Amino acid sequence: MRKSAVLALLFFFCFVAADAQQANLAGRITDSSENKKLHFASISLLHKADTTLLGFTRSNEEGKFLFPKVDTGQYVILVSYPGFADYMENVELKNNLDLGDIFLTMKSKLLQEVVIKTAAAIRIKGDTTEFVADSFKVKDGATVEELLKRLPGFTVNAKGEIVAQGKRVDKVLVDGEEFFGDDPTMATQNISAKAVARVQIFDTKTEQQQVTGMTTGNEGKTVNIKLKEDAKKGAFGKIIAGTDFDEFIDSKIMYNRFTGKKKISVYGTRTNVNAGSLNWEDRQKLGIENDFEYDELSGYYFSFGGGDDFNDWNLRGLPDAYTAGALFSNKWNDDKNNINLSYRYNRLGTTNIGTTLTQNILPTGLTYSNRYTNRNALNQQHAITAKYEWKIDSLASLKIVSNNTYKKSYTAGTDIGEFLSASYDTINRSFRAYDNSTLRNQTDNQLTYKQLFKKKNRLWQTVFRYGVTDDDNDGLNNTIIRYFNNGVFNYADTIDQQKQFNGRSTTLGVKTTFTEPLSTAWMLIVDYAYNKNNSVSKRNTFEKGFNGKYEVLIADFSNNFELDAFSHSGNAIFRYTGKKLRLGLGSGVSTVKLGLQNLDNNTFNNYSFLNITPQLGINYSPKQQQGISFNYRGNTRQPTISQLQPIRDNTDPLVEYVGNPNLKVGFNHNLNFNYNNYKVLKQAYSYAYFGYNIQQNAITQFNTIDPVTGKRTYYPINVNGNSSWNFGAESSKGGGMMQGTNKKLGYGLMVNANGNRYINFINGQKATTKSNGISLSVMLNMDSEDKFSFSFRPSIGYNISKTSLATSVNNNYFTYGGRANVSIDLPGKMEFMTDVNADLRQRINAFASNTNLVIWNASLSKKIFKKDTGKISFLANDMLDDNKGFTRTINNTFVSDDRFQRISRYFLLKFEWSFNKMPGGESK
Amino acid sequence: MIKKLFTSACLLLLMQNAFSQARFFSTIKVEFEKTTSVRQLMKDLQEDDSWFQQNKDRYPVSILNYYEFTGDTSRSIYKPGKEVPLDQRMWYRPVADKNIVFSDFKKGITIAQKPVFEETFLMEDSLLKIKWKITSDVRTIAGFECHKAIGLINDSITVFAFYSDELLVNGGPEGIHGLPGMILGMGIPRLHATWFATKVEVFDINMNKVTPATKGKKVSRSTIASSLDKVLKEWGTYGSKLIMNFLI
Repeated sequence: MRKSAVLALLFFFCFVAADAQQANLAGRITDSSENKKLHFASISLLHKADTTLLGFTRSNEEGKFLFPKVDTGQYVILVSYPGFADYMENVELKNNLDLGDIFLTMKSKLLQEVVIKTAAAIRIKGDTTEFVADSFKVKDGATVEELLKRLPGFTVNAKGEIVAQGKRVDKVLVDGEEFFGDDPTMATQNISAKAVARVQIFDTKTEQQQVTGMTTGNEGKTVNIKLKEDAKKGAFGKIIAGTDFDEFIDSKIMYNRFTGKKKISVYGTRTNVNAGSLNWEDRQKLGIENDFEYDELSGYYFSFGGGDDFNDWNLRGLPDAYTAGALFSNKWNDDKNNINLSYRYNRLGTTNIGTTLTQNILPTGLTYSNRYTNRNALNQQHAITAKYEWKIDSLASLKIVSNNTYKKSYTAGTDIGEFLSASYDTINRSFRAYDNSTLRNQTDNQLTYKQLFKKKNRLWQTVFRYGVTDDDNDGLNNTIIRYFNNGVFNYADTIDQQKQFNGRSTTLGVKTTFTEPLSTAWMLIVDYAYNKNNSVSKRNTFEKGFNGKYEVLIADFSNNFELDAFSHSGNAIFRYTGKKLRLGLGSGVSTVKLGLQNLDNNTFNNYSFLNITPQLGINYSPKQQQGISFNYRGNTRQPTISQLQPIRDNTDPLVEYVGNPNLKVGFNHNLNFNYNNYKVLKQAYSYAYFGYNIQQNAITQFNTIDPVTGKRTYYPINVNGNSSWNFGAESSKGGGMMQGTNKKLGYGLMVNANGNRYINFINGQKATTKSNGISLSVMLNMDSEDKFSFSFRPSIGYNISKTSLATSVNNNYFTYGGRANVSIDLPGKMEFMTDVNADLRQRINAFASNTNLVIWNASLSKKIFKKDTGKISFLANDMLDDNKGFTRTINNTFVSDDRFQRISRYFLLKFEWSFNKMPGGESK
Repeated sequence: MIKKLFTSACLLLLMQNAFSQARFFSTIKVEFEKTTSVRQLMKDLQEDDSWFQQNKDRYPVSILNYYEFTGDTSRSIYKPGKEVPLDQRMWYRPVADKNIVFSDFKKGITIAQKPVFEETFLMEDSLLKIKWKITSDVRTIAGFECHKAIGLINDSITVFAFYSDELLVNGGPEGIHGLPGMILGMGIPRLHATWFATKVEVFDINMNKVTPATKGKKVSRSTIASSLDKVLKEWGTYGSKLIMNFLI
């Protein structure tokens, strides 16, 4: 035993320089009362300067100990033995020294506990004593330590050690957080007493003790310092202003202010280079929550509701946008109550000149229809959202969410259309001028009550929903169609009509979900929902009367009805959660009853549907960063009312849609398979995905095209055999440092493929189209910290489509393209960035024109101000002036190229400044 | 468990009273309960506070792991003990929770098997150098009176340790050691983790199985640090704070 202690000591001495002066230190440990020698007493040798441990040993049977060959110097010797008070003494070691007998004394009894009187300033809750800080006067600039000294029952010594209620304080928490600093005095000596709201003191318990309620009686005390809410104050914000001093402007202002848990944010943007929507980061900072929610059952977030029209993704044409908004949020009562109110205003004007070129594939040959449009639109929206959450107790919570929007839009424009035969003879030519204004008021309110139970994983949740949508549209349509015969003008048709639409839809629903744990791994989730919807739709078309006003009702294109829909639905899902395997299995059943009342002729129609939705999901993760999953989902597809009994519409008189009351219920099977694997240390990532979808009784179109007039009539019809698949795989390795340099290199390979089989009917003939596409891309990037970064991602693809009707038509084409980015850090806090995006397509026979796009952007910026809070940059967008909107659709009945305007070349000088006045430091 | 712990604690106290003299034990088996304060850890790791605020309910407040320490005055092994089922729906997965650490106090070496993501390292190096300060604080853990010591690893990571000098094994959880007694309680603020002994056995300890793990890629402490550093540095503060888990 002794040998090992000496060895351990030697280990501590191994770094001691050989030439230092050394001496031995010896002694003997004795019990002072019985004068007995103590065996196994631990003797520690500490450096006097910083009291760090130099070495330790144990006394032998005779109570003797020896530290051999210790560097001479100043030490502290610490002797301890169970049941005895620690002995500490300063030792100056010059020569070999024998301390002789060291007497240890039995521990004296603890001091009597201090009794605290109850007063307004002091509260006792269970085993917690709470002091209201303001009741104890301290001088200005005092620290928490001085405050503690004033509290009854507290003593603080010179070293900052605290004794409270007769026991040592071994933990100091700030707002309940453990380990505020590595040293409890960090908190007591650095926080201003003025910032403290309350001081709580309680026994230090381990988690275990809290659960079992068992204590050993020897715990120390914990002090919890609760800070005042107003001690947490701050503000941050951002200003961006960009202009080319002529036509373009891009500006944004954001300001956030916190006072305790209250938060107020305001923002505004004005831009005509994009749709003006806030990006995700800004939304996060402002505290505008997205419509996503957490699914307690599956453990994932999900989002609902579509986006609004005010984003760049849907943008067509040239924008002119203003936005403004404000947000208020607050939490109180220990965060049990929480409110979030927000207001948004969007105003987006767009102008667009567009072209759509379409090649129609008919059994009899090809025809062409082209459309040239000119459109101006102005959309405005006010949105108010209110959320309130109340955690009633640790198990129950209530949440109310109310979303309200008021949207107004105005659209006016002209369309010129032409329909050409295979030999490019004109069949018809149309001119349409229109002018629509729409109003929509929407409110959606939800109340959710959630109840957890003492039994783990048992959950009951009920959601009530009430929503109303009001529509009011008004539009003028003026169309002239000239029909030609063998290229010679034959006759003309004119439409001059006003269309009015009034609609109101009210939804009331309730859904209740119950989750019951069957065992530690199995769980059953059942839910039931009831929904009731009533909608009134009044759509009327008028022509001009003798007085020139739109007063004469055209019954053919007018339709007024009331629809009542009731649905009951239920789901039962079994879920298994194992260590590596997760499984979900179940089905939903619902019945839907529709009652349609035609208000024009007072007829009733009832429909009822039964829907089933079986589902299965398997997820297997053999390792933490590896997963394989398989999912199946089946669901019935009901024909919609407009497929069964559509409303006649002549907005485009050259296309007519007819209903089909004989439609059958379809069924959709959806399978997918996923694999992913991430090797953290090797920084290698790979994934593969395969999805397959097949439909029974899919609803497609039966088209009839009149070769004389060019008019297309279609109705929905059931077919079997429509299917689609897609596949994607990626393997990449990246981010790792290159050997011997500080450069990082990443590379990867990606493959995507998809296929589609689609059946419909053209002029009585069944047409089957098969289309397949594959694309391959390579990724390469290099990064050198604070110097440059570079990435390059070229890709190539091939698309094949075949239709059973016109097999001679070749619509196969290659796509090429890719993107490249470079950014270089220049001296003087300057940065240069440039990127190129190329999108090249092989020309197909259908169109002669070039659709290639090469977009090249660049910017030069310089950071300014202290802490780089400001930035001035010069931006050049689309330097080749090549940007145009383009989409291509290839179907079995047509091939279509759609072009629209987009913001192309512009230059901007931009100034950005972000400021931050947070006590906690910078915001990122 | 609790009952057992309680009886063993009572037994020890009884023995102490009966002989009215301290007992010392040189071969011991200790069960440690490691508590990781996941929410505090995630709050600390994530730079973006709003993201944390939004997701804090998705993290468990804390999780428990159990370890078994067996050793005498010459050698010891620390390895995962009984398993605690993890709530699979929670977002947190423990890190560095499967280490098997063998320490040879006589030779001053350690052989530790550390599964790190897809790789299993077998680290062979000298015992960890820790600068200890002994305080006069005392706390009873699992029936043993323990002294508090504050240690510093690499001049950066602080360790709070409570050791009992009634146990003659100079070891502790993971690779923490070097105090005049056995560490029965330990906290590393940076990792938001604490280890506390829940059971101490002192009789009939089988030392035969106290042998180092053999499987894994042989590395030294510095190579494990540099290879982790290379990768985890990419993850920003999140990654660099995570590294500590593998180095203790």
